[in-house]
Order: sequence, then structure tokens, then C-alpha cells
Amino acid sequence: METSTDNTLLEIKNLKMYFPVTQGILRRKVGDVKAVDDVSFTIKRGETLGLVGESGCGKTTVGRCILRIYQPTSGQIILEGQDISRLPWNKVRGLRRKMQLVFQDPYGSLDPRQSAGSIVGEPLKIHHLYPDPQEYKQRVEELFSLVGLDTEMTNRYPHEFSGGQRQRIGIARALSCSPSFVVCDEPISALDVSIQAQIINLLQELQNKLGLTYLLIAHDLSVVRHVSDNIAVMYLGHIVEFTDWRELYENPLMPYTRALLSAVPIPDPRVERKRERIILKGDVPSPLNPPSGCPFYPRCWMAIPDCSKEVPQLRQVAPNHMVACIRV
Amino acid sequence: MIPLLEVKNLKVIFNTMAGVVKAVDGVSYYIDEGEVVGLVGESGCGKSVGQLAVTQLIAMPPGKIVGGEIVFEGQDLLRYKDDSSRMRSVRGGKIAMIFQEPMTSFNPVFSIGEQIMESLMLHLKLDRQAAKQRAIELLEQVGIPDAKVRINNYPHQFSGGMRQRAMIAMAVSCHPKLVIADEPTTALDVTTQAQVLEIMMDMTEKYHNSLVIVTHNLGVVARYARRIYVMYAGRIVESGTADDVFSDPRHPYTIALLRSVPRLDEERGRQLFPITGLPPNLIDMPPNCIFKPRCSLASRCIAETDPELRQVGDNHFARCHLDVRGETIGNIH
Repeated sequence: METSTDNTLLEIKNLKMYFPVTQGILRRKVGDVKAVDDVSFTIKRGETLGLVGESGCGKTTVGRCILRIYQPTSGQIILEGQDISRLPWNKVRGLRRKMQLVFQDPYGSLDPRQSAGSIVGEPLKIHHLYPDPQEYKQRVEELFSLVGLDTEMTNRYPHEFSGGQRQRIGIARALSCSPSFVVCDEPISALDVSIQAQIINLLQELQNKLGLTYLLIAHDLSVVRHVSDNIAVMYLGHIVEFTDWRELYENPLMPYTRALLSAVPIPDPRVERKRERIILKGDVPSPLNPPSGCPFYPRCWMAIPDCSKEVPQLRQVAPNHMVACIRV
Repeated sequence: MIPLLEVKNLKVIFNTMAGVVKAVDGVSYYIDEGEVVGLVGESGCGKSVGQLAVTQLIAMPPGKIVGGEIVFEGQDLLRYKDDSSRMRSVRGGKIAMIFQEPMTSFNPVFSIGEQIMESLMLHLKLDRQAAKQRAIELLEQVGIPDAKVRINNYPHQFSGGMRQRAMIAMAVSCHPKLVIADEPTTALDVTTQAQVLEIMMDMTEKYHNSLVIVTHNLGVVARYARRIYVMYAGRIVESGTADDVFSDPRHPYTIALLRSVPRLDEERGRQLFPITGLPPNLIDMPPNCIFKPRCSLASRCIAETDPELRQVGDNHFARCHLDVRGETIGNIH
């Protein structure tokens, strides 16, 4: 993977996150769930990286490892030149000023007993920013108008807001400490169709205005492609393809990516009639007992016996296009 | 040709503490034999309630069907009580439903096989042995591996996609004339969604039933439905063939919906046009046009009356005073 030292905001090297599986009264360890297995990528400043895959493929775990909500099993997470993967817990809190998270569920992620203003301002208090009450109030109001909410609404409680407005509160909270990096974990999948576009546009606007860098975790390829510069496709803990948004649609190489693309319907019957349909058989295998070799081979229609022998490495096939498949 | 199902001016209300919710407000549509029809709309627009009313599965009270006719095979189903033997033979027998939540729509304390067999024994009067044999066949048809063993599994032992496939098997088990799929794939992953929809279409072809797909996903409708109804706030605002509605939408809401979703095959630079505001409160609906508060062409519309569904093309209807086309508002795609 190409690395330019100056412009890189975040670099992940060989990230692994294994969750132990225990059994019996003694909680003996009987195995590992390899949620993330040897994942590497870089994100440049001001860029959006889309991370797509089916549920259970480990995409959320990657986001949580980066934010150090989990302690990764091994690997490096280099944020602005500093390896944060082994940082002690007491130092992690300071780190969260630089990176923040926007959650999927705008209903569950806001404390129902806290007013919207206090939710948005809480990170400021934790990090002892704006100690002056007047300035604090100003900052909260500034954040409200930044995400397109009325500043009069600071005293209202979450239940008084609609889903789209709640997601805006969540975004304002994430931006309160002026982070440079934001992980958006399925930010729109819980919203209604007509509201989704509002949030997508807001995220893009904020990126242009504040120079934010995003890691967008989502399963909807058409949304990911709409906002991301680069896209990483994950399957069973591995990145199986990494390329830019244009290549991904025009020249997908990994069979799984092709199946994923063909599964997303396009709202145009005339286009739909001409499209190739690849229907995958079966379900995603359990990460507790992954297949030997390529994680995708049991469902792959292009598989050959060699596919089951060893895990294919992500290799460069064109500039900024990497694939983990021996058949391409 | 007489349509298989014709719903005329259906009205469903719910009595709540806050007032009367008009969930379905004068909806008319028809479904021909062997046809695949899509019903699109946002959550809360009454699309599910309208379908539940067809099989009288609405809890009454608080719900109430206050008007209209549901003519199925020449008979008005609303003339029968919800627990009459006629309704019971229609429900699950002639009209089957596939629900959104495969997790909650199966009974967790009975095995999958038991639940499929139940309707086979009830509607087709098969004995246990024959019903079991048939249930295994059905599960095999929808691609459940090892169906002989899996038939004894309980719903929690199935994955989401498998549960929905079992649901399809159950729906087609009694050779229904009509299958209503209410958001059949919303809870599923994209690849599983494609898989389940494809099986649903295969089964529809095999059993020659009509299919109604109720969904908010415009893409799913574009891929499978031949005719489309677009619903907004309890009413149908546009209807027509899929080709007409998608290539030449004639209602501002349909146009706005199409402009608000990103497409996989487009250039990235296009700005999305979100629909401003929120869907209306169904207790206190806007007077005149229900879409006016969110309509980008509202300033141009001076009519003070409620628009009727009027014909705008061959078998193409829209509920709008203005003669809107995609180009009037700007490029759709």
C-alpha cells in the first residue's frame, strides 16, 4: 500500500481483533472469533474511506478498534504519525478529541434524560474546553447552527426531535471538540428514505467546511459510493478489495464485490433489465470457524481447488486497486 | 378481464388518545392475475395498514375499516367478519402474507416445520404425514439445505435469510392466488436481500400467484414490479407501469424521491436533493393537497382544492393540480 508520510492522517497496519470464546464454569478459552484478521489501509487527510460489507464482516469492529473502544489483539494504528494501538487507557480519553464517532441508531445513542444542548456540550465539559459559561453556551449554539438545527432547540429533550434531527444532534456532539477524524457507523440506515439525503448532504457539507476525514461504515453500496473517495470491501474479517469509487463500479475484480454490486438494485427498470445478476448461495460462514484459504471460496462461483489452500493476500493489480483473489 | 383483487376507496382509521388517525384515506387499486405490483412509500404512509386490511389483520379496536370495498374473486371481503370461516379460508389459503420481521413473525415455541404444516393441514386438509412430506418439499424448493433435518429446527436456529425463505415456503404452501410481501427484505443484508427476492420471484413463477411487494426501496420495485403505486400520507399519489413511473414521473413526490436517492450507476458529483420537512401528522392533515407543505412547486400551485387522482397518460395517474414532469423541476438523474 502506498504511504505518503505528509498527507496521511491514519494508517492501519495488520490490525487484528480476536474475541475469545469461553466455555464452562472456569471460562476456559476454547477458540477465537476472528472479527478482524490482518487489515491494513491508509486514509489521507480530508478524504472519505468507505468500508462496506455484510453484517458480521467486522466493519464496525475496525471502527471501534481505531477509536480504541476495543484494545486490538495486534497491529498498529497510526494517527498523525503516532501509534495509538498500545496507548494506555488514561491517555485514550485525550485522543478522543481528535477522533469521534457518529452512531447508527439516533434513538438509542442519545440520553433521553439529557437536554439536546447538554448532550452536544458534554464532550466540551469532559475535555475542559470553554470553561467560561458564556463561551460554552455560544459554542453549543454554534454547533447547533452548524448542523442545521435551530439554536432555540438546545433546551429540548431527544424525544421531541424527529429521527433526522436526532442524527443531527449526534453529529453536532461528534464535532463539538473539533475532531479531525470521524467514524460514521451506518449513519443513515435507520432513517427514512426522504431524510437520508439530508444527512448525506450534511456530512459532505461539513467535510468541505471543516476539512474532516471520514471513515464511513455502511452496507449500502450506492450511498458509500456516493460519498467515498476510496472504498474497502470487507468479508469475514478481511479486506478483499480496495479501490476508488469509480473503479469499484466500472471494474470490480473480486467476485464478492461483483456479487455485492449486483445485489444493489438501481431505481430504473430499463437499466435493471440489462444488468447481470449474481445471486450468492448460502450464508456468510461463522467467523468462529472460518473456511480454510480464501474466506469467500465456499460461496464463490469462480472458485478452483487452489482457493481453499491459503488465504490470498491483498495485492496491487492497478494503481490504487488492490484485490485479494487468486483468480484475477 | 376482472382483476383478481380490487380495492375501492378503502378507508382505515385508528382511534388514539390524540385523535383519529387516518392511516388509509380513500385508496383504490387493483391487481390482475399473475401480476407483480409494487407499493412504494415511506414508513407511516399507510402502505402496510392497507395490506393488512385486505386480510382483516388489523387490530379492532383501535383500528377500524370505515369505508370501501375489497373485492377478491368477485366477492367483497369486507362483508365477512374477521373470524368467519370465509375469511379464515382466504387468509393463508387464497391470500398469503410475507412479513417484514422474520424473527418475530414466526412463533418461537413451535418448530418451523410445525408452522408450515399447520396451514397445509388446515387449508388443504392433508394428514400429518403428507403435510410433513409437502413441507420438506417446500423448504427444498426455497433452497434450505438439508430440509429433512432442518424442518425440526426452531426459528432461532435459522439465520435471517433462511427464516425469510421459510416464510416464503409457508406463504406459497397452499397455492394462494395472491401473496402480499410487506417489506420482505428490509431487515436483511443486501446480498441476502437479492437472494430472498430472487427466490420469491421464482416461487411466484412456479405457483402462478400474483404478488404485491410493499417496500420503501425504489430499487427493489424497479427490479421486479411491473406496475407501481406510490403512496404518501395514506393516499395513492401516483400509479402506472414501472417504466412510466420511473422514466416519466408525474407527481412532485415521486420526482423528489427519485432525486433524493444516490444511484450506483451515476457520476459521483451529483448533489442529492433531500425532501424538506417531515411527512404530515395523520391526525391533522394539511387541507387541500397533502404534499403541499413539502412540495418544491407549491408556490406555483394556486388551486385551493384537494387534487384528484387524474389520468396523465396511458394507464398512468397522478394526484397533482400541476402538469409536472421530471424536467420541470430539473434533471431527475
